[in-house]
Amino acid sequence: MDGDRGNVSPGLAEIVNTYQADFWGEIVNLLDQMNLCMVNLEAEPGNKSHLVALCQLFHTITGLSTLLQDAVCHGLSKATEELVEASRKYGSNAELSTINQFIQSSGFLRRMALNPGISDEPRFFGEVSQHIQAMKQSQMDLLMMVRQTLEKEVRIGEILIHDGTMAKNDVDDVLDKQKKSMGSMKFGEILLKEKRVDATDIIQAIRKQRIRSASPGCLLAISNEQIRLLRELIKNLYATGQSVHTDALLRFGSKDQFSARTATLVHDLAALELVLAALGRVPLSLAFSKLKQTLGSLFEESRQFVRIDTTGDDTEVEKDIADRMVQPMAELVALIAAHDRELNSEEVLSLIELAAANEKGVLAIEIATDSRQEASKYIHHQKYEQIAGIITQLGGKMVVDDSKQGIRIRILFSAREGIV
Amino acid sequence: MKALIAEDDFINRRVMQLFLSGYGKCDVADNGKTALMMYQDAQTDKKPYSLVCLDTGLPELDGQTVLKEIRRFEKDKAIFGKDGARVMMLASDVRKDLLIEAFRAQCDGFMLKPFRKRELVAFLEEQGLIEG
Repeated sequence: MDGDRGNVSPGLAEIVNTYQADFWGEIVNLLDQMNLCMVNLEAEPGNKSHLVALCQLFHTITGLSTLLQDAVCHGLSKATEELVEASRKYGSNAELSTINQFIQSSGFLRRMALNPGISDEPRFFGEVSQHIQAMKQSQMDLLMMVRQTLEKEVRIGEILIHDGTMAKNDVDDVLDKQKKSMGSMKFGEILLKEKRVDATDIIQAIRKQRIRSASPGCLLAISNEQIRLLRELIKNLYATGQSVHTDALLRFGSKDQFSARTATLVHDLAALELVLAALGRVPLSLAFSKLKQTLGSLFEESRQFVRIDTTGDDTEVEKDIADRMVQPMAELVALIAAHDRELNSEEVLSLIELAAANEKGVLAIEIATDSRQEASKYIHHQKYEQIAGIITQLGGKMVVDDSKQGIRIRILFSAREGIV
Repeated sequence: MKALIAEDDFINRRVMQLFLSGYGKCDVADNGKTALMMYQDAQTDKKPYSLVCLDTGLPELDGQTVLKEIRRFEKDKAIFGKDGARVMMLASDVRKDLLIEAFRAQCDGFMLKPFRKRELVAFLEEQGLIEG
């Protein structure tokens, strides 16, 4: 409540300080008028005009308390105003207990107006805080009661408009469509269908664009780090959404509109994360061509004859991995070629195959040669250990498999953990 | 958020427009009569303003009168409380009676010119017009 004292520009605060007594006096006048309103309300609890008048009086006091910079007074009048407003909008009759709460608020405000220092007293402060809590609870109870009893779709729409969830025009559109199509449909069913995002289409569109543009990594000016941060944020939002959805299911059941909306939220967040994950991936063709360029000059200098064949160039990998894996892979290929040269004469043409594939979420890149080399030579080679270290740092692992046909080194990367 | 700024001073009007245009559509009026007409038209077209900033010293119709007319219009249309527009009064100087009259006429905030953007933003947040 301390921080909730309204906002007054510094210049204005300075001026109104001199009017403090006048403002408190004005509040007393308003409270006197309020007494008449409360009497009328008790006599005619169903007459909304009394609640409107009461709400306006509390609104004026809230405004004046902003000028007075009195947090207790501001918090109290604002909470009472909100309860009056809720009673006016959602209650058919003003309950006696609610009217008593208005009277109590008026009593507290009068004590503050007549004894300006009283709000600093801990006991008074405690009483007011308790009273504010009780009013907030009454407001919640009222809203819950309305929510449970209102079955008319129009009223549900009213709540959505009141909460600011939907604009009035949108609610009317949904209701119109609903009436025209299926009378048995629940409120919002069409709306939820219309707002669902199909991530598959978006991802496909992005991929098509990549192929057309021929510059796979440069479609968006967004760094890998930014994508990673965005994905992290969405993961956090997703976790929060999941927990809200679980709560909604427990409290209101799966058929409730709020539960349905939270389910849509969670679904959309997962879809968004997929889109971002797709944005962060590039086809391996770029990495393969860089690798060939790097090795081409190296082999030319050392007068080695090596042919590198690649398959699975379209296989996608996260861009930072694609960038960083070029060097260790190039060194690995160079190592294989060097061993091949040791085994054979200089003139022999070494054939090295690079094949990439996505196997159940694991990216596998296989470097294979048909020359009969011993796997142990690799595993114990210092250079191999260095390369294996780099691959591990990138989150992958290397597996060497030797057979009679030749040697195969498989580099395996598990996909980064996403929502889906 | 859709806002209407009623201010006769060009610079103040422009500054307010710059402040508020980041939060949504922002219309301007240089006198009270036009402002009231724009407000009523927007209500009739079912595209109401969520915020109206009124200078107290507007020509043709002063800010206080426009405020009263706005609330009268809302009452006729059975629009009460938070369903109506939030009205912020802007003044170059303040008098006690002016402040009391403004709050009695159901304004939602009062600011002394010149003010900083953060003060305006704090008001918008408090009124739930923007998220903090």
